[in-house]
Amino acid sequence: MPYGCSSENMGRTVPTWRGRVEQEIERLVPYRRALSSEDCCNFDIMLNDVRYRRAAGGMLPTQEEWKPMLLSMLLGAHQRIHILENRLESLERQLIDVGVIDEH
Amino acid sequence: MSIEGSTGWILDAHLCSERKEMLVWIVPEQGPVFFHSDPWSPSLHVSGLISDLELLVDWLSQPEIVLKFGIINHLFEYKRLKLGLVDRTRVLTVEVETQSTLKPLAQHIEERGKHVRFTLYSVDLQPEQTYLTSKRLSIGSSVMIEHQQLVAIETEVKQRAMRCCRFEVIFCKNNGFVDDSTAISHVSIEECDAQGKVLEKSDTIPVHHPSFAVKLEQCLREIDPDVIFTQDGNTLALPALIAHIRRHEILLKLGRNCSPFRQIGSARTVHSYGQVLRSDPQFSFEGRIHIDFSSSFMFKEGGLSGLYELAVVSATRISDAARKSPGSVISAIQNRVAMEDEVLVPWKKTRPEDTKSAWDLLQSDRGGLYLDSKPGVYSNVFELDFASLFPSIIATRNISPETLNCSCCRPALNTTPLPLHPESAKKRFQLHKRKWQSASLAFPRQSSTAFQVPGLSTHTCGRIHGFLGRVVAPLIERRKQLKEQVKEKNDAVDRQQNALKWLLVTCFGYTGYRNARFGRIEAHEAICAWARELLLQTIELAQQSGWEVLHAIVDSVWIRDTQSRTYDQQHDDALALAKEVHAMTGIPLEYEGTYDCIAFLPSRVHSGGSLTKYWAYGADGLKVRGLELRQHSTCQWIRNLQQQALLILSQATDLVNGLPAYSVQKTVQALLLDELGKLEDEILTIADLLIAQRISREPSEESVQSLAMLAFQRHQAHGFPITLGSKARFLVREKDVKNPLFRVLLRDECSDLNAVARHVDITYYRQQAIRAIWAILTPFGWEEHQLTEVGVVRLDQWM
Repeated sequence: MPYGCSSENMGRTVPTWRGRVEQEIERLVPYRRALSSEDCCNFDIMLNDVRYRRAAGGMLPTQEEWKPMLLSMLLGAHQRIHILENRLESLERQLIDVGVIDEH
Repeated sequence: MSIEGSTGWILDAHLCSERKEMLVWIVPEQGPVFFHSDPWSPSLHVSGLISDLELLVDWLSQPEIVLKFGIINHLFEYKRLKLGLVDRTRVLTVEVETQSTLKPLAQHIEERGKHVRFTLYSVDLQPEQTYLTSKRLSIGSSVMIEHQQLVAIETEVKQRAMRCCRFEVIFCKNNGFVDDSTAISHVSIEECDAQGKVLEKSDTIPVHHPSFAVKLEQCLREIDPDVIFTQDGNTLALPALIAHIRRHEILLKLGRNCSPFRQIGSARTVHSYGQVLRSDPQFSFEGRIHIDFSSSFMFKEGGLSGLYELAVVSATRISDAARKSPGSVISAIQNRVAMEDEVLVPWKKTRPEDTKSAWDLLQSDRGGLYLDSKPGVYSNVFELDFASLFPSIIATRNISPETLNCSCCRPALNTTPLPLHPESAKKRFQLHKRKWQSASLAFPRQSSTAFQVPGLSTHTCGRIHGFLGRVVAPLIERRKQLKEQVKEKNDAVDRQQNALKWLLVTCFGYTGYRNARFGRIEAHEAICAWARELLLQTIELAQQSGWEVLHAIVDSVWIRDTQSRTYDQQHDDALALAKEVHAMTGIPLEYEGTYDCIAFLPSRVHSGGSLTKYWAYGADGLKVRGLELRQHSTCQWIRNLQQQALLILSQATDLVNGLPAYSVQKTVQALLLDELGKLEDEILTIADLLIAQRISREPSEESVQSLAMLAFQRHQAHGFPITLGSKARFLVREKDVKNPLFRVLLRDECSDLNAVARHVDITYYRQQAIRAIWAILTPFGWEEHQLTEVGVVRLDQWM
C-alpha cells in the first residue's frame, strides 16, 4: 500500500471527527466495565448523546475531543430535563383542572 | 484511404502498427468508412536552467543516444509551464520516432538531471488525444480532407447509427474452468443493438475449420460493424483467440485494414489507494471500437451513447473511454483543456502541500457535513438534493489550483457567486479584465469576483477564471441540457447524462489526489469548506420555513413538516424552499422525491445512526442505500428476500400514522421464517446461494482463513489460479476439519447452477438472512432475537 494511505483513513492527514470520537469512546471501555449495570445503562445513553451530535462536534475543530463531547452530553441531559419539565407542567395543569392542587 | 474533398465524422483514431502514423477513421454520410493517415512523431518538453538544457542538448546529440531513443529533432521553444501564467518560458522540445521510446527517454533525462535539474512535460499523454487536440478536433467532429490534411468543417455531417456486433469465443470446457490456455471450439459473430442485444442470430465458426480465418473475416466484412462487443474479451476470450492463432500460425485480420489481429500490452495488477485492481491488455480491431462488457464500468453506466459523449468531451478514443475510470476521463479532459490553453502537461506532480500550522490543518482537513439521522421510520419525508454540488462549487466559487491564495486580490465582503453557465462566467471575467489591465499587481486589490472560503484563511483569485471551473462548467451545462431531453429513464440520452454524472462525481476527488497533475489539496479543502457552509445555510433556512431536518448528507437534506400543512401545501412549500436556496447559493437545489415511508438504520455496533444506510419508498418506487441488496457480494437469495420484504412494506394498506402496521411487519417476519425453512429443507439452488468476493491479496501463512482466501486457494488447487483484483464466486459449505478447502465450492466447479445446493453452511446463510431482515425491521423497533421468535405477542398488537 502506498505510503500515507490506509484503507481506513484514505487521503486524510487529520483523522475524521467521527473516528476520533469513537476512539475516545473506545478508551472508556475499562471504565464502563467497572460500572454497575444501572450506571452502565446511563453511561451508554450519555455516549449516544455524543454520537447523535457528531456533526455539530465536527464543526468545532479542536485538539482534544472532550470539550465537544462534554457539550453534547450536557445538551443530551438538558434535552431530557426539558422533556421532564414539559411533562411536569402538563401533569400539573391536569391536576389543577381536576382541582387536586391549587394554581399557586 | 482518404480522397481529397471527402467529408465525414471521426469515429476513431489510433497509431498504426509501426506507430509512425496516426490513422483517423472517418464515417461519411454515405458509403464505407475510410481512413486518413497523418505522419506522427511524439515529442516531450524539458524545462530547467538554460545552461543545464544546453548541456542536455549536447548529451542527446550523441549518435548512440539518438539511435537508442529514435530522436528525430530537438529545438528550443517558448511555452507556458503553469496554469494562470501568461509568460512563456524557454523549454527544450525533443521529438522522437515512436511513442514507445518517449517514456524511456523521459526517464533517461530525469536520471541525467539527478531528478532535480529538469522538469518534464507531455510524457504520458495519449497520442490520439494530443493529435486531435492539436488540430482542435475530437471524436465525432465533422471533418474534410483538404490538401491531404484533416480539417474541421462548420457544417455538421449527419451521423448514422453505429453498427454493432457481439463477438463470442466458445471454449471446450475443462472441468468447468476456463483460462486463456483453454482450447477454443467456436467463434460466433452476431449483429446486435447499441446495448448488445442480439438482433440476428448467425452461424458459429468452428476454429478447426480449414478456412477458419477466411470465414471469420468474411463474416465480419459482411456485417462491417463499427463496434465490437465481447464478454470477458480483454481477460479471457481474446487472449485465448490470440493464443490459438499463434499456436496454429494463422494470420487473422479483424480490423478494417490489413493489419493482423494482435494484442497490445499485457495484463497488469495495479494498486490504487489500498485496492488491488487489474489492468487488461488491448486488442487491435483497427477501424472498429472494441468494448468488453464485463470490464467497462462506464459502458454499464452510460452505454454506447455515454461512451461517445465521454470521448467527445475528452478527445480520446471511445474504446479508451470504455476502459477508463471516470477519474481518468476527468484527468483526460483536464489535459485537453490545458493543451488548448497552451499550457504544458507535467509528467509528474511537483507541487507539495502548502505549509500549514497544526491548527490550520485541524481547521481545513475536514470533509462534507453529515447530520446524524435518528434511527427509526418516518412518513411523508421530502428529499432535496443539490445538483452536482461539488463541481458547482468549483465553478461558482472559482476554485482551482492557480486561483487559491493569490497575492493580487482581497475578497470583497458581499460577493455574489459566479454564474454556472460557462459563457456567462467567462463574460464576467472579461468585464473585470479591463479594470485589472491598468492595475498594479504589487499590492492586493479588493475584487468582487474573489471569494473568501468560509471558516478558512483561504481566498480565491478574482482576476483569473479558474482552470477547474472551465473544465467542469461545460460538463454541468451539457448534463443539464441532456437531462432536459430525457424522454424516459435509461434511454440513450439518459445514459449519456449518467456518464457525465460520473465525471462530475469524481472531479472533486481528483483535486485531492496526490498524483493528480492539476490537483491541489487546498482546492479540495476549500470545496469541502464551501459544501459545509452551503448545507448549513440550507438547514437553517429549512428550519426557519417550518421543516424538521431529519437527516442531511453532504449535498442532500431530508425534511419533514412541523406546521401541520396539507400534503399539497407541503409539496409547494418544499419546492419554494428549493428555489429560495438556489437563489441564495447560486447552485440549484432540486426536488428529489417524497417518501411515504423512510427508515434510517441504526449502527450494528451502537444504537446511534448508521452512515448512509436507509431504505424508503414513495411514488417513484423503492430507494435503497447501503443495504445488503446493493452490495456486490450478496447472494441472489438474500437479495430477493430483502427486495420482497420491502415490497410487502411498500404495498401495505394496513397503516398506522402512514407507516406499515405491526401486522405488516409480522408478514415480513413470516417471509423470513418461510425462507429459512427453505434453506433448512435444502431446496435452494446453487445460483441462489453463490456469493462473490474480490481477491485483493495472496494468502500468507499468517493469513486468517477467510472465505475469500479459501476460494483463492481452491482455485490454485485446481490449477486455475485467480488473478489478484478479480472476483471469486463460490458457495459456502459446512466446515470440514480435515480439508479446509471443502468449505467453499467454486462456481466453475458446478456444471448446473440450477441444481439444488447440498451441504451448504446453514448457520452462515441463516445469519445472512436474519441480518438482511434486521435491516428492514429494526427501524420499527424489532430486536434481532425477535425476528426468529414465533408466537410472541407484543402489546401494540392488541392496540
